[in-house]
Amino acid sequence: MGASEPSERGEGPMTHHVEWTTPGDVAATLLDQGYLADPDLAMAIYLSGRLGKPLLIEGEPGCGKTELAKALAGATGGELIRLQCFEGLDARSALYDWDYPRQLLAIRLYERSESPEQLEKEVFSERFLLRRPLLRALGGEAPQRPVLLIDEVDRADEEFEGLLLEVLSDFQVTIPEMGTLRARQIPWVIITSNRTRDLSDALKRRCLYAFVEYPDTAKEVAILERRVPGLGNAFAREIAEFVERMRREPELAKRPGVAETIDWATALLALRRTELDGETIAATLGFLVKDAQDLQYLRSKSLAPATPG
Amino acid sequence: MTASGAAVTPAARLRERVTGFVAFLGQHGYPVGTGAEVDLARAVDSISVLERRQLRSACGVTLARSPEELRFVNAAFDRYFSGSDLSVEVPWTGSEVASLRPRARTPPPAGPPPRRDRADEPPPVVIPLGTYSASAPPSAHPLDPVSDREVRRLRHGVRRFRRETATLPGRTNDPSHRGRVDLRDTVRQSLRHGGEWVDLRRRAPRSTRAEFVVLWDISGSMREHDSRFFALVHALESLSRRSRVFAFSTKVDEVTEDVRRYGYRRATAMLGRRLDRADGGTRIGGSLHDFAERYGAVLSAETTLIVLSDGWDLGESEPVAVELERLRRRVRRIVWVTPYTRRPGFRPEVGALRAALEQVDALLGPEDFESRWPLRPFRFRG
Repeated sequence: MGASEPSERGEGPMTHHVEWTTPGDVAATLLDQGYLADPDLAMAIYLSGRLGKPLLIEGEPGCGKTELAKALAGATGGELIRLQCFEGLDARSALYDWDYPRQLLAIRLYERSESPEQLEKEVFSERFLLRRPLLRALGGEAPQRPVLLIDEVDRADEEFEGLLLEVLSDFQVTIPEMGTLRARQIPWVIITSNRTRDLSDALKRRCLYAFVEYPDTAKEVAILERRVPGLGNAFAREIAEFVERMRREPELAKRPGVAETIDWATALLALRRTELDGETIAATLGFLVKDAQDLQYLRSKSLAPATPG
Repeated sequence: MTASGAAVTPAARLRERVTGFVAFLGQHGYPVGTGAEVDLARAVDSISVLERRQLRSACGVTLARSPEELRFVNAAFDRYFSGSDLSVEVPWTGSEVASLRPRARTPPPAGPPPRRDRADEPPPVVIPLGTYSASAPPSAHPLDPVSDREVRRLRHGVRRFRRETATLPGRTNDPSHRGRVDLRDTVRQSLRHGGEWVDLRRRAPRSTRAEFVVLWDISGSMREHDSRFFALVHALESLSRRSRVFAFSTKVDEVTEDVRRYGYRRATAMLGRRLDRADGGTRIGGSLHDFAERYGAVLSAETTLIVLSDGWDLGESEPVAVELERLRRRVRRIVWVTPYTRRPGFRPEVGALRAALEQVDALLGPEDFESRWPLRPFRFRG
């Protein structure tokens, strides 16, 4: 035992598998996955790969931060490893844990045949280690870099950020009983935050940064055409313009994101609608607006789509 | 330019410009750490610097850490690199670009191009985070530090205030004599006794304190109270781990980082330089609306929203009530701090203050934080 004892894992060199040569390549590959990345975001992904640094993405909920990680995994062929953050998240859920029932059985089994030191070494070995998402991302054996998505990090406690520091700066994890495990290859790391609280300077310093905003109408139309085939350009435009109007509503507590727009468009297509009318909007508004007071407010207003001109 | 006087290569010139840009940011109150500077140099190494747009994006990705900082860096980039169209000026080859490497910090080279600094031409979107009004010219916002004694008293008062706000049970667990059994600790403990379960280790939820969101009015009518209120703002920010600070006059912007990054005295100097006050008056209702729109996500059921304002408002008072009512639905409580509560004959009859009174839980003065006695709010609800 001992923190300084090196592990045999991680002796190999860290390798990168960056095939993109320009940010434009990134945007084109993500587009193949159905994700439209603007030039700044494509640059952020590109540099994250070239510099081997985590990428912190902030923005309103539903703007496609999580989708970006999925598209990136699809584009690179790497495994997507997702860690959903929540208050109270700790090392046991995020990093590693020990298989206690099996350890107890092993203690009972070997307590008479092994010395205490040997028993302890046996019990705290790889065999009883449960790898959680962060450790899984570092220990990947696949040829492609895995994509580690640390989702909604602002939901976790500040202490959890401290836990991330070693992982994100050195891509290694120190397990007191086993030593330090280093990554064989640096994973893509995407960290998302909805800005419900400020993240620590230490965490931000270790990351590159990108901010995702709601798309403009033209971009949202393009997204709809890609994600909801069969919608048609005119209907997609009508939907996108209506959603943009909703986002400008000052009274809404929660504005619809792109995910809600896609859900709504899918529902409208399933209902075989080809244009918006007040009745259809009222019946399907729940796809777009997820807050009871917002729904009540919108239903009290005229919901007719804007007329041209 | 090199010391030997030899011809400066395009690569070296760009390196100087990028290093100069970092120094330019530092001169305008935006210090860049060595790590970020190295990242930027490596990024420049990896992109086609023939495209100005890519260089701008790379600067934003490597140097900014929030949307406000992103706007700041982009505005600074536009200003610093104005007039230098890299794609035309520098016909670099790939090998020259690849030769760029980060280097140690140097004194700033020649500053930004002077083309736009003429007195007869207003500066473009300028750097400071608080450009509050497009129509009102920004004026200086000097902040004088208050005495150490007053700072200590304010901090003491804020601690008391923090105690009086609710303590809530969190979902993070700590070792405890009560609570649920912690198998991990129990096993560790048992190993020290040959595998026997000597005692059960337990963990219980840690209590968490309400978080503060501070809205600080920096309009002209608050000028004489600025220094004292900033001391209060700094104390509120530094004594609560989850606090955010926003300054407003005709618009609202977040200044948490500026307050948090430095100790009180240095923060006073830095923020005084960086804040621009729009002398176009206050629109409290509009600012509250702007705040809810742009930063509404920071509010939660645990938030104590603290508004520091005298209530003098050039806008309508009705929007103040409407916006506060909206905010009230999203936070735990709203506290309004006005500089005049302890003045003889004070009545909250200023337009915005009267409108706000129905929605706020407590109306306090800065003296309440300085007093050694329990808070004596002018009005306290709940």
